[in-house]
Amino acid sequence: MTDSPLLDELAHEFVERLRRGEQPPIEAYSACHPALADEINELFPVLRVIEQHAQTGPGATSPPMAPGPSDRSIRLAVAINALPEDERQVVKLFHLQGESAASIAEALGRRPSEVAGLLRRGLKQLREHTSDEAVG
Amino acid sequence: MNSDVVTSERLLEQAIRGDRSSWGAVLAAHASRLNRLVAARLDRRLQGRIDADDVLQEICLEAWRSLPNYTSQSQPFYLWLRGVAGNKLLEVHRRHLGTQKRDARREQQGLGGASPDSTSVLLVSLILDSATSASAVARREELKSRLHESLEQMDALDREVLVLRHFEQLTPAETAAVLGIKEKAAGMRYLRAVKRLGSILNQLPGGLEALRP
Repeated sequence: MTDSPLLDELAHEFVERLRRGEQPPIEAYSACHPALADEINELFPVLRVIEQHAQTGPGATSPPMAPGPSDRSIRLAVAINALPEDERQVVKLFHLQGESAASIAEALGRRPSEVAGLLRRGLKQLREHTSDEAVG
Repeated sequence: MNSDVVTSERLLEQAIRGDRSSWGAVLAAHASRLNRLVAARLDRRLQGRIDADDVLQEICLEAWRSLPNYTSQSQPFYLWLRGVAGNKLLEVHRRHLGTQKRDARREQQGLGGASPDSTSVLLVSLILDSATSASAVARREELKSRLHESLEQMDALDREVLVLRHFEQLTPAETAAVLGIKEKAAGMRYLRAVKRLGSILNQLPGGLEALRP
């Protein structure tokens, strides 16, 4: 390979653009780098095939056959994991186990207003932590 | 250094000092790649038996426990996190597959101890499961088995490089660090692997064009 560091750099940039959902024209790359044109024309269509499923949306990156968790669920798991202990407990009981705020308060020996406060703060944090990547 | 980098470094420092909410933000920034890592490296034989979400939770918890030991001098944060994930996956594989795997092939296992032929399976899924234009299921299944056969002929390290760059979405620098070679050498290896994959795909019926969505 003539200038492999540059070619690798261009390949990486091309792939990143595909992952962002762009359709970067291969001809533009070969026109800008005539010395590498042959290799660009040979390699970049292969990269496009490898990355094609990434184009269906970065939120849906989990390949269909892989037993992977969804991106949304990892963000949620991570965010719940990061909550302070008492908020985590309340959020889990309320949302994952469907308990009512009143029964949580009773079970934990707390006032309903305290439980409501914990829920509100917990949910606010969850929203903050799960929204930053949701757009991408 | 841009402001994103400064923000993420600050969050990481706060997390290392024990701030759980910064830790959540740190993990969220790496969630997508961590998710791909688990999807890629969890042994196919465990599909349906254990929940990838549970593995992920275990990884997050283990990383949180080990976080005080992390120093940015030793390695970039994501590679450290990837190492924690690799150890956890190894533990999960031992726990669930344990004695079945004590054979010579063990030497060739990649991150987390998934079976060595898994990189070909992964690459097949990367290329073919997404090719929606492949008209009939039967045709796709035939393509899959042919592609799998061809990929098995490829050098294992070449396949691994492709998995690192495209499945795990590691950067060129991260890939080089994981392989323990210089970035230039890793780049050449990668480009060569793409070239080989290209010639394999071109030999399939319909060639590369037939695989476009």
